[in-house]
Amino acid sequence: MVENLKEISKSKEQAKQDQEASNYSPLEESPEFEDVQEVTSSGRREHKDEDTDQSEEDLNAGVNYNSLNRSPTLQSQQYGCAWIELGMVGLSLGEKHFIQGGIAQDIRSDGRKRLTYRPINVETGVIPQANGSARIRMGATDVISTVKAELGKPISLQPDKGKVSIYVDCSPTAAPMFEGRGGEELSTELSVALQRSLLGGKSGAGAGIDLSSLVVVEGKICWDLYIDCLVVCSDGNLLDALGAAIKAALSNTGIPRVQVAAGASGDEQPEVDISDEEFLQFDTSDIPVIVTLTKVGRHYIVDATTEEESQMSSAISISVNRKGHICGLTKRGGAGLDPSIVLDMISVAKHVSEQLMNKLDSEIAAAEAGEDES
Amino acid sequence: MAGKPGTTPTTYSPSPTTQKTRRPIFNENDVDWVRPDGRGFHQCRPAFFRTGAVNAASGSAYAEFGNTKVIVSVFGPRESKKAMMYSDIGRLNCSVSHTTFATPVRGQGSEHKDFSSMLHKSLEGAIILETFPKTTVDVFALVLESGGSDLPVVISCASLALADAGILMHDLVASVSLSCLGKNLVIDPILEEESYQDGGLLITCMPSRYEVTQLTVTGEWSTPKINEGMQLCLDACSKLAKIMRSCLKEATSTSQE
Repeated sequence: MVENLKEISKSKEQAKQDQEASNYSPLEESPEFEDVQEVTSSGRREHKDEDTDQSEEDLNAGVNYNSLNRSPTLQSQQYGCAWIELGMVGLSLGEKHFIQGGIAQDIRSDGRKRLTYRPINVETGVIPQANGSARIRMGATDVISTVKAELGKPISLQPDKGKVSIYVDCSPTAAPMFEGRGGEELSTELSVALQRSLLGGKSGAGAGIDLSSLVVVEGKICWDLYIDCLVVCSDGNLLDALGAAIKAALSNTGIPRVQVAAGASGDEQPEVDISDEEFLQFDTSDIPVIVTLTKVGRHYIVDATTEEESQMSSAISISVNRKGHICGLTKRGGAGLDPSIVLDMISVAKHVSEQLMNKLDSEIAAAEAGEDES
Repeated sequence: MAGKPGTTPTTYSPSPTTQKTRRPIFNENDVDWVRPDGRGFHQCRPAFFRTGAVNAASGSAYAEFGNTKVIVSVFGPRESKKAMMYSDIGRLNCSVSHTTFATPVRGQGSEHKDFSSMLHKSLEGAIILETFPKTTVDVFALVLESGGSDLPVVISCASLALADAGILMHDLVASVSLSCLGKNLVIDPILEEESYQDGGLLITCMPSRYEVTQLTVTGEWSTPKINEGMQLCLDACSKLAKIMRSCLKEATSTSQE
């Protein structure tokens, strides 16, 4: 059986062999790709007229393009399974070419450039019962993040640090498949990616959140921060939106001031008095932003919508802090990437993150100021 | 299983770079810091692989890297279980579990919930899914003992098991992880080093195609450091792939005898 399969794939391999070499170095122009571009750029104007001749040409060019490049459209349905199942949008072949061609020409379906974010809308203090909360809207993607602080005991290995736990919940309002256990896989992936970006290494170095500011009595009492996020509506780029929402929620967080009763000795739990009036604001200048770069064809885009994500060959989410250091990196499924491309994506992400961080900071400050006035 | 008849344990330590001569390196605690098992900073543990560990499976492999022991079995391609939608490419289903006695403290495997999805992402770029449409390939990994750097061992062992099962792949997948302790980069960390790490980097790549299928970075890194770490790991991965290939060749040659 293995032999038969090998023979079937041999013919495919023959066709692929010429392409292999050019696939290896990503910057080389491949002739097939140019054909597709010509067809799509000329065909785009007549795309809506549904001219049958044009669509046949599209189909032929599309078949060549797909088979030589490991049929990215088919495979991307399977890739990043949790992310892609979200957007099981039925895209016709013409629509797929439209998206891919547009990205190649730096004009995306909604008119944005490749490295432009959608307008970000920030509201803070949306959940008054929580210590801090924020709601972020990026286009149709809508996420809410809340922070609750409770007193707890620090881990014995790290007595001078508080604890932070991040959890993402994908609500069924975003997609019906999230009901019950359906969204669990996506939730786990997002939670782990966020923890990796914000909490740094095991020893606590490089963490975006300074855990030692959360300790009340060393070894006995510390603050436990529970950061819970909710995905209300998803249109791609969940990780970036969640990272921004956590940053906004933490800026909005007020930790109540605690007074420790003096004279507690030895193993006794000291008495604490939690003040209702005074609050300490959190220092969020070190919190990194997450930038997800999606690779479609040979170009990277930022802030992909669900349709664009269904056409991706792979994606990398990079978390960059204010100093320009990488605080976390996750490659999110898909085809293999040449290491030089990975390094290139890192430098593009660093460049984009500066603008994103400034924009977010100003939006959060505006939201906080607006909240104070009302 | 610890007896290795005929094969000397081979190691996939990357080529010595100039950093290795920079020896008097100290941690915050010690002045003259040596790794607990006496390895150099850029020295990996000896790798031991055996295929055909599980008879009932289509393909299986056992890997032992120091104290990390992993067994992986592959079932398939077989009929898709749930009445899923028709798909003209195959499906990959991965599951990684720890035994309760794998960790020093019983039952601590809950930290590693995401290993299954990480394994899936590492392998999906390598398997030629078009060759088994409408069917599923199941990969079940079991960590028998967790001695540090578990996920890379699981991934390498899984690709060996897939090769043993005859699933068509673009290339073997090799995986190596790296820890950043202070200013030093130590490759293939053990459990103790991992718990004190300031940052970690895990790379999974297909060495012959020179493509990275999975990359995870934790902690704060500057770009030159990431570059250095990636180069070290990629070098180690290519050597590990050679060891995996020789293990497969041995398995086929002994079965022909």
